[in-house]
Amino acid sequence: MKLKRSLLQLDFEEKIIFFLHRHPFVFVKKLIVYLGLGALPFLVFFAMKTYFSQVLDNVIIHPLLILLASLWFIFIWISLFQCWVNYYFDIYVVTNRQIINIDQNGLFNRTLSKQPLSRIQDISTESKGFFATILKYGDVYIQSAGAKDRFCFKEIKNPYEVSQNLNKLVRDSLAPL
Amino acid sequence: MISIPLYIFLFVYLALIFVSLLYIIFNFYHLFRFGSLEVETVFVSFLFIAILTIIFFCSFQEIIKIDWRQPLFTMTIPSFIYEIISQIQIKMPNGWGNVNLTNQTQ
Repeated sequence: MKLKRSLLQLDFEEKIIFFLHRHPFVFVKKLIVYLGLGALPFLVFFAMKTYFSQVLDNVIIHPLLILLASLWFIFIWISLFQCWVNYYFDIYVVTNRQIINIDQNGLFNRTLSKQPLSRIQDISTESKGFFATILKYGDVYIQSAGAKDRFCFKEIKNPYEVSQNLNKLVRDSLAPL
Repeated sequence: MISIPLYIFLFVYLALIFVSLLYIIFNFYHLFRFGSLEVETVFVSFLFIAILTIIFFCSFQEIIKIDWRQPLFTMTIPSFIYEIISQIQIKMPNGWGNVNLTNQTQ
């Protein structure tokens, strides 16, 4: 389990059925962007060496560029780590009683929302785009009674399978004992 | 003549590094406080620290090559400003004595 059970505030008898994450490709997309940004100082350096070599020899500009490049690499690396932490803590949990959505936005912003299975009215699935279709990931929207906003399991693996299992769990929770 | 040395940039750089280090500490606290100690978490943390150390090491190697004591720019103060300063007399409260900004050794 990737999150401490106490943080999910589960009852003693409550069982975790699914523990869902976003598809790893979602993080890979961000990784590619950050790698591109990380390569930027090298491109700038080679462009300057080719076209403005005298600028690089300047006693003030040269040290400034070194400090800026160093800060840029550190900033990119920390941002990428922050992205991974966000990805790691964006979790959807389905128990035998409720669904829990933990949304991590930055370091100090986490939203934990819960919805009992018995209140779920409608579950729909959406898989949009080339990569989402090929890699089988997509969104699962959960509409519950009385709730203004829909619950959304964003970019999860096998959304159709999750939706079917969730439907079965909802039916079981509504079945008379 | 006032000379501003190049190492003021180094102080700004170090201040920003300090802020980033604080941010990293918060990130790790967050990771181990709310997450569990798994192979994935430990591996990513190790990789993060390893690459960050390489970035710091490479930056340090480049930074030590530079003479940070050379002046960034020099400012020449016009002589009339010295004359104005030398004529300033600050009146202090009773018993404190007056302060004269002219050369005290004369």
